[in-house]
Amino acid sequence: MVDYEPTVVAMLCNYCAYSAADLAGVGRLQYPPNVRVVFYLCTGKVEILHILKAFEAGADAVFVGA
Amino acid sequence: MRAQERVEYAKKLLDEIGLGSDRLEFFHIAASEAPLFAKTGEKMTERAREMGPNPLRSVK
Amino acid sequence: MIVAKRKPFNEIKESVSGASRILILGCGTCVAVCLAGGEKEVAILASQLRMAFQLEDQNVQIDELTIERQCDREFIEQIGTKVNVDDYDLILSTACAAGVQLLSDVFDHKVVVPGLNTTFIGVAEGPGVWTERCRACSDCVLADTGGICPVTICAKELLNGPCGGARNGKCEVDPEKDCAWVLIYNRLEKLGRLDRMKQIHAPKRHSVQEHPATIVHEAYRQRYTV
Repeated sequence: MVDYEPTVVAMLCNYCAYSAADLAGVGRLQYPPNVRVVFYLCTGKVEILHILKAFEAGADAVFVGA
Repeated sequence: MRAQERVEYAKKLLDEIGLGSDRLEFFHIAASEAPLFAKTGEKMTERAREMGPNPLRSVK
Repeated sequence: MIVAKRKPFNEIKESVSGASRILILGCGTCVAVCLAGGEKEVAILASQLRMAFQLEDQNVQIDELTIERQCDREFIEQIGTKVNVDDYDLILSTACAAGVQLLSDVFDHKVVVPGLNTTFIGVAEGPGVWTERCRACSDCVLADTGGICPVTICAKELLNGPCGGARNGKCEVDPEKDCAWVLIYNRLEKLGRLDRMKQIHAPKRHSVQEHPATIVHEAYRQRYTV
């Protein structure tokens, strides 16, 4: 169990963290491939149920970026 | 912030079921802060590694 | 409307333990408005229970359904068109206690457990805040009290003015809370109806409160009873 590849779900706001992620791509910044991005027009739309469903589906960690 | 409040609430719900609230976090990342995003991605991946796999995944 | 609050998760989990097929039944009226037992809250509770049971390696099937109202047979009868209740060992209802009871009357061969603690009849003060406004005393005095209920808001349920323990408009029982009679005085003054305070109210007629109470609307009943 020690070496497993975690799945990290990132719920990102179009105007903040998603742009930052985009910029990281443009700037060729390295970040772990474990991060799976979920795009939100605004993280105000992030519902508690979305977060729970991510865990129910087996996500190892979730972060919301705004 | 709406998302921040919901994350706090969802953390409580995760604690209730015994999954642990540490698996969920909220971050402020401005559009210009690409390095911060990369660092956050690393930090959460690292944290997920330390905590081990989500027990719900192995059941599936 | 009726305001309720979700029970602690562990209490709910304990009350449904042993069942392998659970139907979580939400109610789309009062408890949906106070964000305790509507469709969304049912989905969150279902997701939590699913994960909690999975973490304990228990195989429990959990389904969700929300109907318009659980305090009305007409709506409960519609459940049959959506799901087969006999497929489930247990129904977890997130309606108020009235809904839970009617549900267990209709499905008297099923275990029905509540997911909420029904708390009061109240109003929405703002997003996410509700306050109690009525104790259902069956003998309303609001005409003389400027629309502020002393039975509900006064800790001592006084009907004829304040007790003398009020400090700066706050209650002596709980200094966080307003003195009902200070509120009533200010309101009546504003309305120019201070003379109403001079009305002496006889002790509350508890006899008009029948428990459990029944209200019959004769005309309506005769028309629709075959």
